[in-house]
Amino acid sequence: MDYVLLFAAVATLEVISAILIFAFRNVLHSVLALSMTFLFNSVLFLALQQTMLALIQLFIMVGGVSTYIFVGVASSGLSKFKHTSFLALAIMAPILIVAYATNLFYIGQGTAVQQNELSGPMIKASLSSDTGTLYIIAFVLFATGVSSIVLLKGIGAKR
Amino acid sequence: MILIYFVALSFSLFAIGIAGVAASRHFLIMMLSVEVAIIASTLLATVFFYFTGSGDIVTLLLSMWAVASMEVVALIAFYRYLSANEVSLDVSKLSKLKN
Repeated sequence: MDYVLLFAAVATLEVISAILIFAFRNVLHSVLALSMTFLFNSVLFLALQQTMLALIQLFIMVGGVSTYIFVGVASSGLSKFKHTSFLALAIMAPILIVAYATNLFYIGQGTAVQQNELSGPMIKASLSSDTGTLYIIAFVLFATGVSSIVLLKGIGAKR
Repeated sequence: MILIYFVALSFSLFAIGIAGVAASRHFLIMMLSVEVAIIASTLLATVFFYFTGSGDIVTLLLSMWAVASMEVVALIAFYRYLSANEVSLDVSKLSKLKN
């Protein structure tokens, strides 16, 4: 039950972050929301016991992709206009969700869990104990980086 | 963990990404929407690999991440070009690539 609640919390935050991409008028804030979506997605990889994949997701998507977008977007002028029709988004998203969800009736719920080379006890002994630590370190590093970008932009705006 | 929860989340994220591409007029936001759809795909692939154990998930995920990264490279290049030439980022106003 705890896992279900944790999954529900992370999934809700991920969906909210994805929706916030369209809610912000400032594109830099939209990129921040995208970074948060990537982050919560990596947390879900942890829930699937794919610690190495979660770490790689953190490095590539948050550390690489998001940072590159930050630099590219923040280094030039930003256009602020009403870029998303929320009515269209609100209509299309549920329709698509329902359309995809019809496939859920064909998926069995009693499927057994499998292990692979990158999950839980299958990771080499010398690495498995460090993967969690590496994830926390990477998380703190990227959180610091993203926070400093936001802080510097805030300081620059006041001046 | 129950499979159907993860699959439903992946479908929701993918739908949000696709709807975002269709509903948005901003070039950058459309590309970010595609990124959302890509991570929904990676999550779905990982979920099915977790529950079935078949296929090479690492190769698939690395290739998907490579696609996402290359898309960002193209995104930044286009964005910088459009900004430098003062071309509107509103895709509905784009009629030709030449100034």
